[in-house]
Amino acid sequence: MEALISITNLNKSYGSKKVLSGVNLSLTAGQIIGLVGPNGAGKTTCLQAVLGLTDYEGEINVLGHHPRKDRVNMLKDVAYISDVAILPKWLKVSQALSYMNEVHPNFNLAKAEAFLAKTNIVDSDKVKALSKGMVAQLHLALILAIDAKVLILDEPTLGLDILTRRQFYTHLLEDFYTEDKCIVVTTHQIEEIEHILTDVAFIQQGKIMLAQSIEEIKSRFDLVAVTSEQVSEADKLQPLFRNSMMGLTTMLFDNQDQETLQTLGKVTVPSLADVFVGIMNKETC
Amino acid sequence: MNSAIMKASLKKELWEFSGVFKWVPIILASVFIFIPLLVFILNGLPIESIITELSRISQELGQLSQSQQTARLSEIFFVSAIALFTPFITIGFIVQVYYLTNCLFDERRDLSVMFWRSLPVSDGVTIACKLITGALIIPVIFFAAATLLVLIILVLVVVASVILSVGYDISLWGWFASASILSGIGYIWLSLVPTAIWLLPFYSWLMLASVYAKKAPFLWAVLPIVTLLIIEAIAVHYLNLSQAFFGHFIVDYFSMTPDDIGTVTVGAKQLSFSGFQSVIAKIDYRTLLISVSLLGATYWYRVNKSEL
Repeated sequence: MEALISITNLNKSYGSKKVLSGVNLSLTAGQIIGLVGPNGAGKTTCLQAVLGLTDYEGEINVLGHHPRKDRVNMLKDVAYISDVAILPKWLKVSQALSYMNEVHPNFNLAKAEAFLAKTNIVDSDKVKALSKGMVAQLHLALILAIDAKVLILDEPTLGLDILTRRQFYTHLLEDFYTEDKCIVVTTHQIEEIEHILTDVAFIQQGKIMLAQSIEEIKSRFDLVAVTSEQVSEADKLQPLFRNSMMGLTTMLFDNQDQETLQTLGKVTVPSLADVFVGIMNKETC
Repeated sequence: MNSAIMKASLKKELWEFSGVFKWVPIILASVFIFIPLLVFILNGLPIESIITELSRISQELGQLSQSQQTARLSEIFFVSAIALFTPFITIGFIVQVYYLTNCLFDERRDLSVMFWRSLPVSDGVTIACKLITGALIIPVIFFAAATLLVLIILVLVVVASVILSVGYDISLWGWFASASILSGIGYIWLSLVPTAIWLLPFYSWLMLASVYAKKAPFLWAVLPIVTLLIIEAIAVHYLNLSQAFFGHFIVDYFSMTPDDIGTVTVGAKQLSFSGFQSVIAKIDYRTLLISVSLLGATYWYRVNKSEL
C-alpha cells in the first residue's frame, strides 16, 4: 500500500542540541499511529517537520507534497490539532466557521454545524467565554469537518478532564476515521488511546526506539508475574523491565519462548504502557 | 480562490481588532459632535454673535469679485476640512502603529499562530493582508469617520442655513455652491494611497519588529533605531565625519520641508497642501528597496521562526 506519509532519515538540531536523529517512519491509509515518548523526546518537532512548520534535514513526503515547499497545498488534505489552547480568545464561533468555510476547500460547514449542535456551544460565543473542554469541542468540530486524508494530533487532550478526553476520541473515530485516512497522535495518556491505535512508535531522545503494529507488539512482548523462587532464573532471560512489589516481581520480556516463560509464572499480554516503560528503561534495567 | 482567501483574511484582521477599529473613530467623532453640543446646551446658542459674524463675512466677500469669492470660500472649507481630518489622521496613525507592532506578535504570544498556520493559507497572503490592513484599511476607516463627521456638520449647517434664511433673511446657499466641498474632501482622500506607499518602509519595519520580538514589540521597533542614531552620532562626532548617513537618511526621507510642500488647486485658488504631490515626490527607489527588504525579512521570520 502506498504511504500517505513517508519520513526518511529525519534529523533536526537546535544549535548543538540534536532533537531528531535518523527518524524513519512510513504511514499508510487506515493506520492510527501513536507517537509516544517522554517530554523532550522530539514528538512535537517531528510533527512540526511533517507539517512544514520547521526546517529539517532528511526526506519527508506527505501525500506527494514536500511539507516546506508545498505547505499550502499539502494542508488542503492534512488537518492538525496541536493543542486545545491555540484557538485565539477573540474569535467567535460564527467567525471561526465562516473563516474556515472561506479558506479551506475541503471544509464542510454543515458537518461542523451539526457537530456543534450536539454541544452547548452557540454561534455567538467567543472562545474566551468557553471552558477548556468546549474549546476542544469547537476545535474538533472545525477539524473533523475537513475532509482530510491525514489528521495530526499533538497532545490534543492536554489539560482536559477524563470525560472530555473520552468524548474527544469517540468523536474522532465516529466522525472522522475511515479506512482511507490516517491519524497520527501524540499523547502522554497512552492508556486512553491504546484501544484506538493500530500502530505505535516510541520515541526517545529523537530516535525511534520501536515502531510496530499493536498486534505485533502484543505477540512480541510478554508480561510475567514471576514468583520469588524463579526470579534468578527469569533474570537470565534478560527482561526489559522488572518491578517488584509486595513479594511479587513483574518482568517484561521481548521475543521469548512462551513455554519457558510459563514455567516462571503467570504470563499476560502487557499493556502498551508496560511496553513503553520497558522500552524506555531498556538501558537502565 | 486566492481572492476569497484574501477577503477572508482581511475580514479576520477586522474581527481581531474590531474593538479598536470600530470604537476609536466613533468616540473621536462623538467628541467633535457632542462637546460643541454640550457647550451650546450649557451656555446657550450665541445667535446674535453668529449673525454678526456671518454678516461681517458676507460684507467681506461682497467686496470681492465672483472668482475671488469662490476661491476664498473654497479655501475656508478646505482648511476647515483639513482641521477636522487632522485629529482623525493623527489618532489613525497611532492605531496603525499599534496594529502593525502587534499583528504578528499577538498570534505568537497566544499560540494561535499554530492554528492559523495549520490552514491552507500561505504566509505571503497573511503578511500581505496584515500590511494592507495596517497601511490602507485603518486610514480608510479613520478617513471615512472624518468624512462622515464633515457630512454631519454639513447637514447641521444646512439646517442652520434654513433657519437663518427663514428667520433672519440671511442666505448662505450661494456659499455652498462656491465652496467646492466635494473636490476639497476628494483631495484629502487622494493622499491616502501615496501616503501608504511613502510610509511603506516604516510600516514594514514595524511588521518586522512584530514578527521578531519575543516580548515588547514596540520597544523592538523603537530601540534599535534610537541606538543606531546614538552610535552614529557618537561616531560622527569622534571620527569627524561630515554627516550621519543613517540619521540624514531618516530626516531626508520622512521630513516635509517647505520646499517639499506641494500645492493643489481648490476652486480657483492654489493652496499649500502636503498630502498629495509632496508625498508622491518623496516616493523613490529607497521606498521600494527598503520595503522589499524588510517585508522579505518579515516573511522569512514568519516561515522559519513562528514560535515565540
